[in-house]
Amino acid sequence: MEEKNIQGRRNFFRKSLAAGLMSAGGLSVLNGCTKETSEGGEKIKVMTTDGRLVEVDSTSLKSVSTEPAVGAEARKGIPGRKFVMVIDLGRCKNAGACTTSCQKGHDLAADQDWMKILLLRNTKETEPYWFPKPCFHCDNPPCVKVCPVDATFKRDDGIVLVDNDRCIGCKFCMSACPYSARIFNWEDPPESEIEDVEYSPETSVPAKVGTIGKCDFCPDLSRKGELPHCVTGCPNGAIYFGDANEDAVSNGEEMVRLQTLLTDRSAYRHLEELGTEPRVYYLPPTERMFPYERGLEGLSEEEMALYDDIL
Amino acid sequence: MMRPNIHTYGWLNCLFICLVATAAINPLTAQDSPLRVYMYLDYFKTDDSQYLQAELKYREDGGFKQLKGVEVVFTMTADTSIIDLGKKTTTADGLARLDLSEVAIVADTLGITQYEASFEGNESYKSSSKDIEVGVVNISMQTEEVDSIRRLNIMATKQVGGNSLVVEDLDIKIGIERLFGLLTLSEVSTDEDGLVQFDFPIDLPGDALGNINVIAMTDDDDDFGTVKTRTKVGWGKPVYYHANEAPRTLWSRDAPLWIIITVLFLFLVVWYHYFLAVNHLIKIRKL
Amino acid sequence: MENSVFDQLLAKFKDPISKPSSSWWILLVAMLMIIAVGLFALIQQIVHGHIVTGMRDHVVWGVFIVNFIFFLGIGYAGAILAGIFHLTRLQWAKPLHRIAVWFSLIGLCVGPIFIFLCVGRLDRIHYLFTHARIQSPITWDVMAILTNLILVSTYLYIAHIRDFAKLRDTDVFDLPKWKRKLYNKLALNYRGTHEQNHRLNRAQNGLAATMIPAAIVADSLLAWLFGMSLRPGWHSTLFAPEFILVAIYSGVALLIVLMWFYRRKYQLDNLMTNQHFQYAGYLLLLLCLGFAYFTLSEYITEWYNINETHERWLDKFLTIGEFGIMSFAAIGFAIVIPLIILIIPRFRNAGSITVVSGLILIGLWLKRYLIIVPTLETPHLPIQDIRPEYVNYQATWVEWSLSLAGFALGVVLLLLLNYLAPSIPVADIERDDEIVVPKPFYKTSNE
Repeated sequence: MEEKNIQGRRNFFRKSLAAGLMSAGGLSVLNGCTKETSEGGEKIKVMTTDGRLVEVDSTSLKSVSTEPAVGAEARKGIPGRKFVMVIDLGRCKNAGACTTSCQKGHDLAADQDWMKILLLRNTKETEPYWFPKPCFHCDNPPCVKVCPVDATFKRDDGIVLVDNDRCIGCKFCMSACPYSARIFNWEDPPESEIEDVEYSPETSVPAKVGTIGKCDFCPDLSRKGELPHCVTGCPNGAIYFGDANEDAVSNGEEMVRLQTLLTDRSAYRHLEELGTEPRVYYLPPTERMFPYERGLEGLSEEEMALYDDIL
Repeated sequence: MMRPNIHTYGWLNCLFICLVATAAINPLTAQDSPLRVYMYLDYFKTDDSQYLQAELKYREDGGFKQLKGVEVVFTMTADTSIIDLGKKTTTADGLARLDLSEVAIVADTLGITQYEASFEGNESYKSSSKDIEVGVVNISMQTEEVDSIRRLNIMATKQVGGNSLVVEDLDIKIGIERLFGLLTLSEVSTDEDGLVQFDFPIDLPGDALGNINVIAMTDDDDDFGTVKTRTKVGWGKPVYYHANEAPRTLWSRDAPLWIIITVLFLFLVVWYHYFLAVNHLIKIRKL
Repeated sequence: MENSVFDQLLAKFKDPISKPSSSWWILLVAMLMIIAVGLFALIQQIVHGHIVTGMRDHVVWGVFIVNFIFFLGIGYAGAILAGIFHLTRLQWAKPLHRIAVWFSLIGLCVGPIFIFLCVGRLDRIHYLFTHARIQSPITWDVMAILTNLILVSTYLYIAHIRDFAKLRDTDVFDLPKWKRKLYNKLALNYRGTHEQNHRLNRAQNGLAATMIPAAIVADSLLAWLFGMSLRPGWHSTLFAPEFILVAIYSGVALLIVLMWFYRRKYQLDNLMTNQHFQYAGYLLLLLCLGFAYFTLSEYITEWYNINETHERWLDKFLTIGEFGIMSFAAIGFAIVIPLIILIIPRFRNAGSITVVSGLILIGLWLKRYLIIVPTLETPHLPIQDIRPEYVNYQATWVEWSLSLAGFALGVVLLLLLNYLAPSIPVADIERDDEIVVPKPFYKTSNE
């Protein structure tokens, strides 16, 4: 159980410890504090090291299940977490590995992009850059505001999820999302390799025709201490993911302090002026690992035509 | 967007034809020859355990795959005698782990032990083995707080021939545990006394109680493998997590009161007048 | 019984109340056939999913929602017009009152069907009630549409009671036995006593006064389905008033078209005089100017406050390859041509006003299309997709046949209402003639 944290990235690929975690029955959010849960009350009074007496929510002391949550539990969020993503635009070369590993992880069809890479250009004088676009999991989510049946919801851990057992497919959230992050299951999902799994909003699998799908920040993996598919899929470490409460984000290769990263690299949020408070930050492409043209290599004429307006 | 590529198909066709041809010419050799197995062996030591871990992989379709469900034999060599440590079967992740905590480790005069892991091979996979030489290092970590400076005192020692010796120039990584792994704070080396100090930052968030798990470890050291020690210290800023109980916002489950009041008011006004009208109709009928 | 002028009037509606003519039947069957095609398309959509429509991830709603807005607009406008006609006791509008109520009900019945067609999981439609979130404009709309539907149907019923009583008692034409029984039930024992009369008036006044604000609120909610989003072209405080004005504009245009049709069909020249067309024409002119004002206001403010996305959005209305032709058609049909015809007295007659009204209806349908599709095709982030159907919306045969089926259903409902009651409130006109108007103008011959 300990090794997982120590070994860092190497062990993400050697999943033994994740298995160990699961056998241990749960990953304690706050190591050593689980015994306090016996108090049973809503709030627990604890003494901090600097001598202050503080009240702590008893839910924050519970251990976290490593299994994807279903039903009402899936609407609560992982206690104590505030998930956040940081995307370094300087490291993206349109490799598309985030998109494909996301599709693989969520059993999506090849034309369903929950993670989509766009080519953007701020002005005619500045260089274009590749822009990976997941769902921004806004803290003021326009999509959730308009849902008539509470099928999409904002959790305490910051994640916006869709419950495909509830969704009526009115598509109002799609029209409300200013970032076009949501996609619709227009037809029956393709034959799945993943069979007979119980549906969980945390895994978004299996998909259902006539309902909405979108990037879910892979909370099922977070429960196991693993990074989202797009993060581990990216060959260049462009995508960082972590818990803002811990002030740490990891791209699978290195873990850095969130505040330091955001400050040092002048992070911004896309279309901040809309007031949606995204949980995805972008680092401007100041230190480019690749010229943007690298992302155009090997594209068909048809694909090149997409960028006519930009280039 | 994945689109079928004519070259892919062409290549697959060639492969198919070759396979068919091979099978037709000599049915006896149609089966693939055994695949090469890549083995990695690592030594791990924590505060309460130490173990060997072998990882087995093979190449297929241009990528590595974990080799699961095969037996790995572990041995320990000291001087010239080979001591059998036991067999372990690899997991779904291709890992075989041998617990050393109950093993009386035999070391040479320099305190070094040689371990070997071997896989004898079968009809599908070739045999493979790997050996490593590691010594046992003990890393101890004390916390001290002097005049608002929080300091970690780390010391590395090793046992050689019954004597405790300090280990100098040992690269040690200091970090804290996070959900997705280790947040490295610093990488330091021990001095000639086997000591190193580290001043702990004051602004790191801890858990709800301000506790942080601090780690000092060697990271796959050539001489000592991966050895780590862990200690919990209340040096973090407590992060109070409040599960927001049903906020009344536009985006939550429960609506702001003004919306409910407005809608109810409109609804009541309309339906009040409606039932007035219906009441008239009922009376008309009775007249 | 004396064969009064009103009995003669009622007798004009022998077809279809007493005995539908063959043309009534032919029209009914033709419309039912169109509906059958629509049902076939609906089955395709249910079996294969929404993939058979032209709707995709960016244009998530297509002509379905255009029709939804169009029909609901008509429905709300009918309620507002009927309410105003009734409350103001506008004498010249009396013969038009029933037409307005009728198309109000038709609009409110047909409109919601189109929103159901936009829903991916019709099997879960009851979640709208069992899991309702009151913050969602859809929930408001569900409540508003249902409320208005009930209000308008009840109002329609109240406005028919005197005629039902008249039909129950009439001997100007034969009625099948079941129909006589039906009228007997529907007439609620109404015999025109003072108290019955008084109570009926009270009921109708109350409902009319409720129906007008309810329709205004409901049409605003319809606008807010779009106005509450952050999209350029939708996120506008102007949206709700514009929707209401456009709805009433289309309602008046439809009223004129139906008036022309009924005048011709039943020779109602002395009830629907050329003067009626002139008055309705003035109203149309006023609304046309209002519409022009809103349109100008909408585009010019966008033009001055342009950012990159707004620019892409606005450009689409001016580019021939995009929505240029459609937006010029919408403006031509709903603003330019009506202004020319309605302002110049020489051009203004029953025929031309009716033609203009027809054009306005087309123009306003196109306007709704222009509200929906270009905006959905212009999100904040560019659409970089090699699948052309995901970039530009193109309605499929499924959507067109279901749209046609919707219009056909409207006609069927109109035919059925015609079968139930005369298209003018005969008893109300008779009553007003006795009580209110000493010498009504419609008794003098036309011109």
